[in-house]
Amino acid sequence: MKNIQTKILQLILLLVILMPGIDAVAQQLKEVTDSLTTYGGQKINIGYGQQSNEKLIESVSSISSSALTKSTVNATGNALFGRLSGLIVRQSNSEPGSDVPSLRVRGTGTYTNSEPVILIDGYEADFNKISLSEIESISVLKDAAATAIYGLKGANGVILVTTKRGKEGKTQFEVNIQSGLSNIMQSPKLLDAYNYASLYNKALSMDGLAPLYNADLYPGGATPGDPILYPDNNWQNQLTRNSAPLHNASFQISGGTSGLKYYVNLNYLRSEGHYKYADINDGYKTQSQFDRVNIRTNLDIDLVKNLAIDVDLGIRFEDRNSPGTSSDGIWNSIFQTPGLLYNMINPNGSIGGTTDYRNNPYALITATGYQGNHARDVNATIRARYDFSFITKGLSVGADFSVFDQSYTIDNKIRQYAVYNIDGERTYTKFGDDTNLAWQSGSTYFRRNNYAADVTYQRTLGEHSFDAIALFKMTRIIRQSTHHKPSNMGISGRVNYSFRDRYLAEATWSYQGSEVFHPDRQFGFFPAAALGWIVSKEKFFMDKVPFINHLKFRGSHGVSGSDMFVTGTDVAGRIFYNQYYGGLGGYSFGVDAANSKGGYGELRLANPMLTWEKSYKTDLSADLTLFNRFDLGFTWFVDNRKDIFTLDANAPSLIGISSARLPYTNNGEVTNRGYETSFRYYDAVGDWSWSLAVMLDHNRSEVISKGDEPFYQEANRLRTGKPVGQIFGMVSTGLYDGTSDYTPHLWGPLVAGDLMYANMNGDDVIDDRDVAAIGYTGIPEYNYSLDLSVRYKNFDFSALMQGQDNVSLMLGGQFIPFRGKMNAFPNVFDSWTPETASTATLPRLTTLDSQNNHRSSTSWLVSTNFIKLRNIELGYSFSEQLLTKMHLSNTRLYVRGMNLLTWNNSFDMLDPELMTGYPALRTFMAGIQVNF
Amino acid sequence: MRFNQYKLIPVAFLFLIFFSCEDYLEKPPSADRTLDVVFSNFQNAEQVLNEAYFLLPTGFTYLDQGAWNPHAGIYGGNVAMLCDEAEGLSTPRQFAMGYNDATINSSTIYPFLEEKWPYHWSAIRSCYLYLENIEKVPGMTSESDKQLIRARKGEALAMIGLQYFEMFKRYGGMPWMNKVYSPVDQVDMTRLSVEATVDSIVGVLDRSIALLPSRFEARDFGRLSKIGAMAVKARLLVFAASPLFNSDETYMAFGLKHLICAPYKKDRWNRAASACKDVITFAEQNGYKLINTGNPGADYKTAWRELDATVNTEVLLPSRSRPQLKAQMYQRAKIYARTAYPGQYHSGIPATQPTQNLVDLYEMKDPSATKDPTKPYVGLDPRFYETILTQGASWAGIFNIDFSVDKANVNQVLGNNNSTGQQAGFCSGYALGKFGFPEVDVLRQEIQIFWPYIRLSDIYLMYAEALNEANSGPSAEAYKYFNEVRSRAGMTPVSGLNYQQMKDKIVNERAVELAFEQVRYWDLKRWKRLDILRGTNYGIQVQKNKTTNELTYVRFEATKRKFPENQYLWAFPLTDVLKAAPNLVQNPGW
Repeated sequence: MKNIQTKILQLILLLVILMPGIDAVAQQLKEVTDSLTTYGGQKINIGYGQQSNEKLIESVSSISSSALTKSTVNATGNALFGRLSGLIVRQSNSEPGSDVPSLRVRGTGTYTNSEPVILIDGYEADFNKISLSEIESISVLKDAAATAIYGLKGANGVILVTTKRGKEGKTQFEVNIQSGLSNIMQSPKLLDAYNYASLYNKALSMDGLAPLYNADLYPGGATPGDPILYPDNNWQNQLTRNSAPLHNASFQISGGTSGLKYYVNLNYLRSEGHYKYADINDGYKTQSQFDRVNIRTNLDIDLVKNLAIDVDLGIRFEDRNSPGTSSDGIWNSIFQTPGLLYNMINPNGSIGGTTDYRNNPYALITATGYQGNHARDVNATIRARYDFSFITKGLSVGADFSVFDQSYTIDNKIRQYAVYNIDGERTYTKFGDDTNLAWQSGSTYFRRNNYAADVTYQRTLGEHSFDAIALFKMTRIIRQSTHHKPSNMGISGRVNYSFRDRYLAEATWSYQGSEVFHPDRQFGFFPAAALGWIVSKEKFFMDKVPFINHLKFRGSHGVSGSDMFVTGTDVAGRIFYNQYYGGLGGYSFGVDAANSKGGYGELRLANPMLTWEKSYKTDLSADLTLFNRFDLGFTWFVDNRKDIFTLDANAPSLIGISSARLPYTNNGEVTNRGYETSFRYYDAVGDWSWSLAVMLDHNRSEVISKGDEPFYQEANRLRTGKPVGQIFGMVSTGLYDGTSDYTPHLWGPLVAGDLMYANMNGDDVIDDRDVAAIGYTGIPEYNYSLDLSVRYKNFDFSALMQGQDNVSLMLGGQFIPFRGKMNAFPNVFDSWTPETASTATLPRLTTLDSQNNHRSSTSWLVSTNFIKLRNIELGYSFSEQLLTKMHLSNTRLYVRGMNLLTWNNSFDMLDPELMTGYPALRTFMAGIQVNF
Repeated sequence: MRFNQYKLIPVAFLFLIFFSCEDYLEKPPSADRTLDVVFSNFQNAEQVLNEAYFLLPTGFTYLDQGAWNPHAGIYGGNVAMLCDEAEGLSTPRQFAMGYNDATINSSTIYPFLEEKWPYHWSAIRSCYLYLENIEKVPGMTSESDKQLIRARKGEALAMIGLQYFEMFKRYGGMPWMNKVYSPVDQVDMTRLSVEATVDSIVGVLDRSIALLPSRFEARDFGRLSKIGAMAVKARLLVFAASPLFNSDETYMAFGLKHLICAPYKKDRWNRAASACKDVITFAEQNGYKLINTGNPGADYKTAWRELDATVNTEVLLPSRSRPQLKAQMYQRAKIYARTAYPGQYHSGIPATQPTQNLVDLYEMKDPSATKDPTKPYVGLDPRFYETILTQGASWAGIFNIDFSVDKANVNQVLGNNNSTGQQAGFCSGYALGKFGFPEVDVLRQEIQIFWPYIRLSDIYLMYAEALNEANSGPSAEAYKYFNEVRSRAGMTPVSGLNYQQMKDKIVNERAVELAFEQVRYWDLKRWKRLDILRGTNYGIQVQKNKTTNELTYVRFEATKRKFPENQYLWAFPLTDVLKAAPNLVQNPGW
């Protein structure tokens, strides 16, 4: 990691040295930096309001439409890699339509739920389902000043999505059509038949077992045999296509008069998967496919004098199709099935397979039916705002009703299939049976009702300016299969004050309640305050250092809360203040079965004192702009989470409560610290203009206390003092040479090639008590990105690199060579055999499970650091003269690529972002954008 | 500017919202089962006590509910594997060998092992929950209702006493919980001395005996009755008088002596004898007696098989926490039935196999006869044939058990192999007949079962033992009850014995009469019989001459038992010791 920091420092220095002349080329600059948030007058969306970037003293990072639309993605979250400081985006699946990434704001603040809350135009909704074209901006609220106003929903950070609205003026049309393809980024080099046969035999012989295959008979062997009996399948090549189409088209209309402003968006997306043979079934396809239609209408109506009404309606329709087997099942089978077992398709057209290996990947794709999912989302908001300026200037009152309504229905038709094994006589043996399609259905329903009302006051009086809001909000969720309706309500407010436009202060608070807490103590108070000083506006400063255009110091401290750890949906999963009793073991009296009686006991012990998690956040920041060319930003933060929701696992057994019925308490504390730095350079010379933005975030959490930490006697096993999610495992000290003395290992006497482990607790045996914190967590501690934009005449070019560091993954399952008879990844060649004893890094090859060697240890720990070329785009805009003749205002052609390259020096098995399931994808798109 | 009344609309709207949401965060009305609901009527409240009943000990251990199950035993196996009564097989054997090799420690002591520490406390909690709330049940005003509540309170107290006794025999002095604790309560986990623990348990049992009616109806078979509570008290006082607890010397060096033993007083045997005598007197007055129809084998079986209390007058505390065996779930009887068979015929996990050591304890029925090594199972005590299945015995007529190995190809490893000649696991040469229900395999229907937690014959033998100890020799009364057990079994009475001879006879008689009733291992520990606990277990290999079908019985050494001394008492789970530090003092050697 030090390397990267050093390199970034060098880069910054270099740029400073090469800094060109100071002559401003203002207009060009504005164009090229449009996608970046600058200190200028740009408005940033904050909780229940806006603030100019210049006077912003909260910690907020923001991205606007022009940067978002450089991506073509199925899920909005995938357009945010490396774009927003403090936001960690992690992809965990890439199947079209299921590729929703997980988001974290500033890492992990608690060992319960750390997912941030996402609001669309002020209310919680699923932002991954809206189209990029309808988004105006996305803000990430990070510090206490920004999140306290959200009360019980603020502790994990808040992401605000703001949709576009119409502007007064003539009607604007925008058509944007993109077409392209995606392909699989990295194919693992799995063993072919010959190598599998010979290495598997080798492993068998090392296990003292008879060889199973004659490697010479397979392709590449000395005496290749009948290819029908000795096949060599490369499942991934045989079953995946090189490219899958991806299309997105949007049509936007906006405009309005002083009385009515409108914005309309229609977006269609189709994204297909990569399976071959998806069309061989009559009547249905088994391709992974995602179709989505988005319709949005945002209307701003001045109804009568002083009364304005907004009517926003966002609707989504989604259709998903996929093979009858889950994508994890298919890809596991593609990666794990050795290629020599059977024919993909036998000469007579039947599906190959044996009694032990029936998951022919070809059959999983084509012969298990299909799964369909049809979803509908409605996001509707009505806002009324009454301007009370006639009482005092700047006063207005608003009232909102917003509903997010989501449902889907499942339409699966699933079948089973028979496989046939072929022998030398060409006779077939059948295993399993072909069945007819069987229909499976299901549906869900989810609705969130929101009501809100507010009073706002904005006023500038001489050198003083005020911006204040007080609001009331309540939210209730209604869903299928439970009569319990999770609810929140509360009031909150904020006052911004600035004096002479350079002394800035903000106080914000909320008083929020949640239905999950005891009625006597349902509401919590969450205050925060922030101060800022724009030094560069001081007269003495402007005179002395005129090349510093902007210098601001700011800091905030406060508390926000979380009730989001309560993830249950029914009464028992949400209400912990009431004691419930339920059926446990019963008893029989007398002589016959009829006298059998049930038993009641206490279910989970109630805890009426259960309360919310509290996040005490402190931020200190500095913002600097030099020579109108350079922006530098630095933020240091610490987030101290207290009262973490924790099982009271340390209640003694003597109270008579079994471990499954122990109560929850607020007994844990985590501190998360870090910093965010950003650097931007933008300039223009002649026909050239460019900008370069570099971001580096760091965060690391530490568990201060954890009420359910077992009473370990060995310090090495303690979770306390380590980051949340710290990986634990044995510390390998090398491979046993077969002769030396060693501390006994609990898992049997060692043989040559076995892993030896460090004795961490100093006793006389190596066992589970010797595990220690190894590596990092699965969430990177360092996230960085580099964003370059260049414009030359009508050409524009941009590139985004994003990377992560200090992140680990414990390999298991398919990455342990030959485990469960699976095919092996390239790390099989690092395994110990008598011949490779001198170079081996992994334990001896074996076909059996080894308790000693296959447990989590430093030997199986890999770093999933990477740098990715996330985005690259080249565009050409036609000259204005030409367009005017065609009555067009702007026409731009562009090509873009996403996730083009990955640099990772640790291993070469699969893309480090997605180590199991549907592998990572690369996307190429070409598009045309026409405005008229 | 002219005031417009419409301007009030939004203001009114705002107020409307504020005032309409008073109850917004209340949880919805629902049919939640709260304490008030549970104790709203007597039938509901009964179920709280049923939960405690569910936790009564049983020897019908089973794994099908997972290892975290109060009845899982030693991974489905039985405590008999820990002494010379039985050898284990398969995973239960591994766990039993964990005791022998002392690889278990205070952090691995449960859940897979003999001790089910948390369940004692769960049962006690359920009982207190019942006791503290049962008076709240409305409408229980009639005299019969009041009597019913008195009886149920007696049952709850008796179960508290029973669970404490079960802990006392495993741990010695115990902390005393006397209410339903909430998580915020300070829990005093200081251990009482052995004497104080015994007195506390006696106190609880005496209270229960005072409340319980003298007999329950047949439909209440399985309830903790008055005689059951008295029997638990007798057993407790016999344990308290025995050398393990009644001693000036600890079995291992230990600073806090009073936690694991009480100063030696011979008089403790008098107290035990009088508690036994109380049970016997009460039994005689209330129709409890040894089943004796003159058919010793059948009578012996009736005592653990018959649920009709008018027929089974012998079981004093039947536990029905494992109430039935289902044909298709017959593996639940894993421990005692098919599980004891060699692996080739049925697929149940074998667990408990009688040893040659136990077989050797059975006397010849005819006292003048001697055992013939070529016909080793002829002419033995009738109880032998009800307890142990030998080569050629019939399994409910479905098949004959065959342990034999080819004499020409003897695999000497643990005397075992199966029909395919592969090692099928350990085979002692015997299978368990007692507590087996082979008829389920034929009937294919559910059958009701119970576990004889205490039988009257146990009380008789303890009474004889207590008298022999208290008087330093057998009295006429001691002979009387000792011989009643023998004569019911069709064995000749004994007489003319000195103290030591009587003592040896009692040891022998208890092993035979109470075989596999979860008695012998605890007996050997309370007697501190290291000579037996550290003995060698033997099995018998049945060698068959394939041409002549002639059988040869060859004794082989199965295991050498090490019995680490710290296992006289179990360890408290380390987690609780650390949570309670320094109050819950760990037993020595753990």
